[in-house]
Amino acid sequence: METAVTIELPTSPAVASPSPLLDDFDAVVAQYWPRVYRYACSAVRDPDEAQTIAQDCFMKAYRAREQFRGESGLATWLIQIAVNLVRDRARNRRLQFWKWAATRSVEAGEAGHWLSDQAPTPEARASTRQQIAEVGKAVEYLSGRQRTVFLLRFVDGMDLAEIASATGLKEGTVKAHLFRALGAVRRRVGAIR
Amino acid sequence: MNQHLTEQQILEWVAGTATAESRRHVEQCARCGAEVECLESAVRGFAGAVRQAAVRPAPSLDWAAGRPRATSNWMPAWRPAIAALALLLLAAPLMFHFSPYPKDIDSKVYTTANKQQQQLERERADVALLEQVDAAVSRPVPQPIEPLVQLVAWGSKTNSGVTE
Repeated sequence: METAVTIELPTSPAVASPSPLLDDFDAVVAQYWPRVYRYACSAVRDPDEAQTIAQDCFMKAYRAREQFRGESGLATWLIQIAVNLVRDRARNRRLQFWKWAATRSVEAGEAGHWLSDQAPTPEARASTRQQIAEVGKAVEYLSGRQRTVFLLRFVDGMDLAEIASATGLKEGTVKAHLFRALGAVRRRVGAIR
Repeated sequence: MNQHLTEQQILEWVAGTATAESRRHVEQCARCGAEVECLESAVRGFAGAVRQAAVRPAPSLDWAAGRPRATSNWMPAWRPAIAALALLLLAAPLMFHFSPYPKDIDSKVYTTANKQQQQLERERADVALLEQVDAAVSRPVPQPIEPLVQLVAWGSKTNSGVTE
């Protein structure tokens, strides 16, 4: 059963005009959609769910555009909305994590190709694919916050300060979650060596 | 640093928060370099796979209304035909105005047609006249004396004994 989604939009106490960055909202969507969708997709592991989250994210951003003052980066602000949406959706239903990834084994092949220069032999490529699969399984069992921090750091390439801003956590807390997530991944990957 | 990297230092390395001392050690220590590389490449490969898979174009939405943007899908199959018709209607006056032929051509054409019509009428009149002529020529006597010829014929029949 779904409950109402409550989104905590980042606001600023300062009363000022909305950022001109949001004047051309279609351009904002065109620029930041890939990033928001990628985060949502990596977080919920379901392309359709991710599409819904990304759409909701931009709709909420549009409605709350007057609250954006440009104090944080626009991308960080949007990711913050997306993080809240993902969290609220995860609260409302138990997502079958990595179900999508499991059905798309081609990903591992694509990633193996991406890393082909580092894994020149078939054995090495197979090993890389297995490692990637193990990382996926490890991420599956992370807590919500650990997973969010891990994905934002490695998939989205955000630094710790940006992650802290996007998640509302302190930077030290972000770092702790990241190390725990990495530790779990390392244990998983190390187990196959 | 003589000792190998600890678990925490390896994680820091991969997280991008390694100290300068750890970096120097990894440059010199093959074992720690391999440890770091193993975890780093697995994470990097995972991230690359997700980036490659998680691609979808942005939808065309009316963000203010929160619904799909109204697209001009009105009679898509008819659109080319309607456009062509509209173009033709627009272009027709121009075509007449900027005709590739001289304007007197039109009048000449009209005159020619008129002449042909007149010619046809003349021919019909000629045919009628010829028919009249043929009829007149085929008479044994001129028309004005035809009643007299009939009268004589009638009289010769009744008075045949007299003449004989």
